[in-house]
Amino acid sequence: MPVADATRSPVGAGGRAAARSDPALLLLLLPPLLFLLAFLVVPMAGLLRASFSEGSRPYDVAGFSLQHYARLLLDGYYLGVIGETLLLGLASAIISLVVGFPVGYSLARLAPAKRRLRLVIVILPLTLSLVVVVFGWLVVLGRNGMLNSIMMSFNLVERPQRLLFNRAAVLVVLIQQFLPFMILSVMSVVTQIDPALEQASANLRANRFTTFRRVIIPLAMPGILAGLTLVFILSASAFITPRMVGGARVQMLGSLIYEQVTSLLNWPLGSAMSFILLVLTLLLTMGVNMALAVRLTSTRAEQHAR
Amino acid sequence: MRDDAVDVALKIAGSIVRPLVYTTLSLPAVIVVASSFTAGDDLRFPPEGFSPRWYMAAFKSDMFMGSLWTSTKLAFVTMVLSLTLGMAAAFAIDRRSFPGKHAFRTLTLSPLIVPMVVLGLGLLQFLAWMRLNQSFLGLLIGHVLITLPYVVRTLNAGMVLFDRTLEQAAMNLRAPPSKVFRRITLPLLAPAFVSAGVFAFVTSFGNITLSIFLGFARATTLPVQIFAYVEHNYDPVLAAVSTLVIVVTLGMIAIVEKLVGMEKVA
Amino acid sequence: MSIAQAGSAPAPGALPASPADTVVSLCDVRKTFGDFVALEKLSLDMRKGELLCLLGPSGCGKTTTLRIIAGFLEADSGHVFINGQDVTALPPYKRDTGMVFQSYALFPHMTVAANVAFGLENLGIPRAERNRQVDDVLTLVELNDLTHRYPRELSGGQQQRVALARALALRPAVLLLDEPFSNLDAQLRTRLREELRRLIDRVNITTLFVTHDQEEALMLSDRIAVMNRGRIEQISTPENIYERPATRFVAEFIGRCSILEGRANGGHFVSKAGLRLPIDAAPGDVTLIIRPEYIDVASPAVTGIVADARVIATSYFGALTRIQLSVEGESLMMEKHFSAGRKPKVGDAMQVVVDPKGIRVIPVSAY
Repeated sequence: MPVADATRSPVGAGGRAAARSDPALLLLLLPPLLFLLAFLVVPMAGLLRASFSEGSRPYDVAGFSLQHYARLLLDGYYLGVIGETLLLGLASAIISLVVGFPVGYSLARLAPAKRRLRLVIVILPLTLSLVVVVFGWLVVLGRNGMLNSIMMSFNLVERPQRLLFNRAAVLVVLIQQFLPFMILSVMSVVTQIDPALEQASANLRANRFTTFRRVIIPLAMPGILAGLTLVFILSASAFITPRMVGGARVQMLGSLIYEQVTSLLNWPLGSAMSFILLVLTLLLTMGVNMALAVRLTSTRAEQHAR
Repeated sequence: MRDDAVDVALKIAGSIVRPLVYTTLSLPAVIVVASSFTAGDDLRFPPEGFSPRWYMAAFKSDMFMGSLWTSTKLAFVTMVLSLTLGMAAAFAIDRRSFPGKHAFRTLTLSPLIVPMVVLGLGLLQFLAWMRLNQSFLGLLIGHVLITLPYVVRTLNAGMVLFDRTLEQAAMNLRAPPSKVFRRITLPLLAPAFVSAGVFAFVTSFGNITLSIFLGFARATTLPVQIFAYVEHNYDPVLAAVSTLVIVVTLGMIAIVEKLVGMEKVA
Repeated sequence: MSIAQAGSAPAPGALPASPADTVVSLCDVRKTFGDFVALEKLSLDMRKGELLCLLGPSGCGKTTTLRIIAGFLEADSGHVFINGQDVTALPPYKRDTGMVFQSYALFPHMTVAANVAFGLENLGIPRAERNRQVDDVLTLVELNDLTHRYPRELSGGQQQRVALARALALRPAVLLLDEPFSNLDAQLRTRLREELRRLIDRVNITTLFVTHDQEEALMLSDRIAVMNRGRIEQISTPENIYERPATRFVAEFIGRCSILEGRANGGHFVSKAGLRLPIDAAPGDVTLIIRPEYIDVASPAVTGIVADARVIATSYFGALTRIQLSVEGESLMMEKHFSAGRKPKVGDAMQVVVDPKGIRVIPVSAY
């Protein structure tokens, strides 16, 4: 009978723990598994290894030394770049939350017909090539760009302003770039909040602001945290944006790594930087996950009543 | 209704923020397309005049057209490979039980959480060690790596929604397993496949960060070409080329929209 | 036009002319959704302490009415008054109502106590006083030992009590219940209905109750407003509604009945199929409604209108058996208990007697 025989049928039920004697499973599992092990896990291990290398050239993985990490963590310049990266990442995450939450919330509560167009506008930037989006911002913020043209025609300024190649411009582009992730994250979580809860809150004399504060936001917290984490990580790892929009004046870890790898050719140092970046992002993700897990079992909510 | 002051403030703030966000999100693409039609010599907005001359220039440029072809070829092969590996993984996750399944699932999704520059450097060093750097194969490996999570996630989502009783009904109607797979399972999973495939294509086509690291001296991809060009020049041919990218991407997304609807994707 | 009982509908714009103990007053309320007219000029008064039920099929406008009173929907025209105050322009959080939602809508991230205290906090009641009131109302619904639980840890019946307590804690002018029993299984439903009635009596709170279940309405209400297609067909006590339905819709929606269409001319009624009955009614087209308990098997002891009948169908319900009869071309329904072995069979001929007191005449102009 086909259903009982997992080997013959690709249509087997999911509950059979017959992994070892199931050739079909091996056929399914091995290719992706081997691929990921070979091209994800091993390179990451290699990266770690290279970061401890004694040399400072490409392909150099000999010896063991902490010199690169020492340089990164003790040199003022590199610490500054790490700090800048964290700062921009944080700012990007928080601002995109403030700006993206209303949009995500309204999308969740909107009727499907109205939602479609808006959703397309939100998702589209994610699918376009990053270089095209950033290039677009160059045209918007450039000397002869849209913003300058508008300001000049309204006589707000006499000469075209230099809007690019500073921190603010990088921040703006970073925010716009990753805003869709925040919006989608919020939308996804608010969709799961029963609208009746908002009505019940209103019936219990809470105005909209109080309802947001005490009902919607607490319940949306997992999505909010997920969005913050995602945007932070993406912003902190950015390299095209700070390079194209910030020029030499705004240095982030990502663009620094690129420089090390392509022009300075100090791959071990670049590896060390990459690893620091990786550790930062992993720590953040794990920290947020743990905080969320704790929240679900917390008794903090009942302190409201007593 | 006579709302509290704070609620009125909220409403006003919301009605300002939301259109602002939608405008800002669409702005770069719109500006790029608009300024690509300039008749003038430099990149400005609003554009001077209306002319397709920069598109002519783009189509005449071997550099850009060559990289367009490379990108398309690469994206297509990436899509096929990614779908194959991803389908295998998704089926294993959805329909089989084995020790370490959760870990495997996390592994398939993990390229998403590693910063792309880190992936780029790590892979570059590994490929260099294998003498595969600066090759189409190396680039392909990188692209498959970053598209795999999307494919697995989309296929899995489609499978979770799939009603198994339909397969049981087919078997009850005397269909052997291969026929069930061919006539029932695959067609019903087709939207998920198309959706996953399109996203793999689009992601590969537009990818820049990884492609720069795994750069391929003999032929570059279009986004990398744009990036290289903009570092030294700044003229409307970039806008025309970028518009081409937008058109290709939009076209593919429209396919997904028609077949599956945006909601399933998000 | 609505058929109201006590308390007349005030003219639009004027304050209610009804007695001083009117708690809720709806005045010519109209609500449309695009082309669909949900409520047509609805007027309604609720007396202090009464339990009024809005009963009707889905789409009749009962839930719309509830939501307009609560403030979640704005009427296209008309006014809503609560305790004499015109609340039509007030948002829901400014209205003195307490609502129990069909899904209960308990805040999942707050304990039972926090849920109940929520409204009191919004009213600015200080903590000590708040805790006392929360305790009081939880005692009322007998949930004191569950104050620190979360909604997901409670049974359906317990959740309903929390939702009630939460609404009652604010001592609202009117309690609004939106089909509160539809989420529960049948046995629980019966038990909770009785508990609810006792609770409401004890607290003596004006209550508006929406349901599509006529058994519930008959059992719980002081008055029932039967609604159909955006208007109130009849509003009266349960007995009146059952025994003296004002329209054919009401007669068919509540309980079971036999319907005879025909013409009355002074002392007689002749149905479309030719059945003659000695009925005193004003001449004209009429509809007769006869409840099944007023038709019995003919016997010397029973007086009334006798007729020959043939059994068309029987349905067994344990305590009674429902018999579909053919009487001179018309279909009549009888409900009666038959002891074992005495149940009539399909095709049997029998004589039935109709109690004239159970025949209700509805002029066709009142449809």
